[in-house]
Amino acid sequence: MVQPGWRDVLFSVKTFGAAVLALYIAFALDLTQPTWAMLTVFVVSQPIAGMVAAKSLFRAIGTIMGAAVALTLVGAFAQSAPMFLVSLALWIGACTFTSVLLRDAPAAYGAMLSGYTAAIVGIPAALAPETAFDYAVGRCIEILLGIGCATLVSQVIFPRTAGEALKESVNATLEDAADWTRDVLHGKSQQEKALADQRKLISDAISLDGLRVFATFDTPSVRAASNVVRHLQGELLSLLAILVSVNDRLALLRGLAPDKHAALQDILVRTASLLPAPGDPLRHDPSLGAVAEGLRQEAMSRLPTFDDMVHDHRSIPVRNILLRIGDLVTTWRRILDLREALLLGNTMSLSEAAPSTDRYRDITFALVAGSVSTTAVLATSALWVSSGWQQGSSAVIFSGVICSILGALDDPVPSAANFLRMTIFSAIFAAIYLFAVLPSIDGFVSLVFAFLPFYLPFGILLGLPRISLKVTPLGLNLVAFLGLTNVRSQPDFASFANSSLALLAGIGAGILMFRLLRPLGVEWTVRRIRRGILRDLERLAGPETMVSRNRFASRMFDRINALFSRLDATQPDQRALMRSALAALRVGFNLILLKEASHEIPRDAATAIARVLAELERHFRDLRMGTTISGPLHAIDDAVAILLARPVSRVEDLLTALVAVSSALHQHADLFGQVRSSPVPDIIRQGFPA
Amino acid sequence: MIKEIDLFGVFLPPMFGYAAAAALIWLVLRKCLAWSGAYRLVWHPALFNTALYILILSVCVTFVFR
Repeated sequence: MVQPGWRDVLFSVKTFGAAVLALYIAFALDLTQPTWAMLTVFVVSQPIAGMVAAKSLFRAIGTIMGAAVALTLVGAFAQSAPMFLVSLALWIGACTFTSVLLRDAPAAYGAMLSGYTAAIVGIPAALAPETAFDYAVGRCIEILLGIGCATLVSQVIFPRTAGEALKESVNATLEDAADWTRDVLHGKSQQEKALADQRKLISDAISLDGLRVFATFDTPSVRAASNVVRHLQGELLSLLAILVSVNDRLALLRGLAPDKHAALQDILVRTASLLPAPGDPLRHDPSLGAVAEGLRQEAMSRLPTFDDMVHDHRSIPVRNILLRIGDLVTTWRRILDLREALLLGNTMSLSEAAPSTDRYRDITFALVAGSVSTTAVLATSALWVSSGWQQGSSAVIFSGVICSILGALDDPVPSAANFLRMTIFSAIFAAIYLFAVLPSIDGFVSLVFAFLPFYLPFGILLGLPRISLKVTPLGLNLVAFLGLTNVRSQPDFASFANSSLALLAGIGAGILMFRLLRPLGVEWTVRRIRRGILRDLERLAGPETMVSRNRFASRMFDRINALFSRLDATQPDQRALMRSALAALRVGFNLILLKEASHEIPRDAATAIARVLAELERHFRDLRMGTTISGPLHAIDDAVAILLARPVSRVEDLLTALVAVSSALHQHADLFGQVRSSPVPDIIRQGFPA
Repeated sequence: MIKEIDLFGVFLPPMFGYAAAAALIWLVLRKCLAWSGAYRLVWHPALFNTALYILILSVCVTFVFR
């Protein structure tokens, strides 16, 4: 249980203030549904100012777009209810598809909202076409009013900016990165702890980009330094990739050639001493540059030559480790420089363009989510039309809402069930307010005091991560149920019960659709991510595509992050899959290297490498399709034999890469299939104790 | 036969009554099926349950209007 601090209380007071302000203005302007203005304040309010700004922007865009679509549909199909409902269902489906595809980008909210706004505005408008335009405009105005109040309050009164949060997060991430680097270099990264650390680091590094997007909304200096943040994230991800590689190579070497491992100890320890001691804050140290450069030079001068590698095959992993140590030192220096630039708000002169942060997109998953929304709206519409139930329109609207907002989850049923539970609670609260409290209210001030005991605690919960998602429907639906207006009307229990029942029926229909059409849940997502990893490797090995290392790495880390957040590291098979995913990243890097280097070598060696790539491509496709996998991939052994017999340019790199691929395939048979019987190619095995 | 159900002064359509009756039978039947292990033979339990409910509901309605 998270203890709320003063920040959360402040946030709650701010949110409540903004809601009251919005409600007051809406009453003063005599708008038809002041409720929507108040509801919007609670929807967009988040602890960080940039997040409010981003959500507000897309709520405005989504609402206006949804209202426009609603009016178009009403205009086009006012005479034909089935056509109207079918096109509405298709629109909601298309919007859910887009929003699931955009994943956590702020624009995803806009896409989702424009889908169900079309239902919220369109259905009442279609029932009364003559007031349709006023109704749509009214909703837009009320929502813009709510957005205005929320943004104003969040920016003006003690703002907490995403820029600050970003800087804090950068520091925390870098300290964790330093910790883990030190553990890897000292060989202290025990498997379980290492995996937990990696999981946290990867998710922190991935989330930096999200914070950066929000920070551009509220911190001008970060907007200017946006490129710096992207570079920083890119370097951090490369650092992770290097560490994964070093960690695995060191483990291999410890097992196969302890003497070589011992010989590397001194340089590993000295590299670790570059990092700040545990618990120390990061400092900018001007002398670091020279020391780091010295270390890199030393690592390069100690690289085993080709003759060493032919003479003693066990020195191949040594070469790999030393190369990565050189990269590690360079990357760490660059990370510290970038951090300095970000904290001081300097604009660094960055020679190359920022690495693209490529995210993985799952089109099939988005299509499924979209069609669930469409089906839910169609099913409830059919029920509404055939039963002649007047309030059935709320069921249609809410089935669309619930399928839109929860469609992106792996397993939406528990969240939807929670939504249903919270809505029932809010209906009870609404009944208390409507029939016991509100009749004795005689002015705006007493109304505010009546809301205070409910919305202050609600605001505190809204600011707490995790809990906020659970309680949001409680507060929001209460506002929706109350339907405050300037016109005082006698509360009527029958119509209240009827409309609440319709709303709950809509949510229930959404749950039913999720259960019927998406029964697989998390397991299905994990399977899809796994196939995505294999497809990426297949594309890398394929002949035509030239994929950039950065794009591949950033997409892979995004996938790995998605995978890690769904797996349980205490289950042996799931832990194995987590490790295999990291190994897949390294296999990918080596494939890129093999492909690049094969352009510079003589014909026969290049043919051997091409055969390796073709064999791997076929192998990854077989794995992905689930067809029976064949053969021990002899091409790798053949290529190594050819290269060892005939030195060509960059032969050291090629050999290292081939051995790396071979050992990864052997170590991670759960992902790559039982194809390699030993970690190293046949010809080298004589040098290794098998 | 078709008349509104009076529940504490709130009038409900008759369909509501059939739906509630069907739900009751359905809950009992589901417990029995789960106890007898029949769900092990079912490929898609949610789909099976939904279909089962619809069947019970239509039996209830047919029974009344027979």
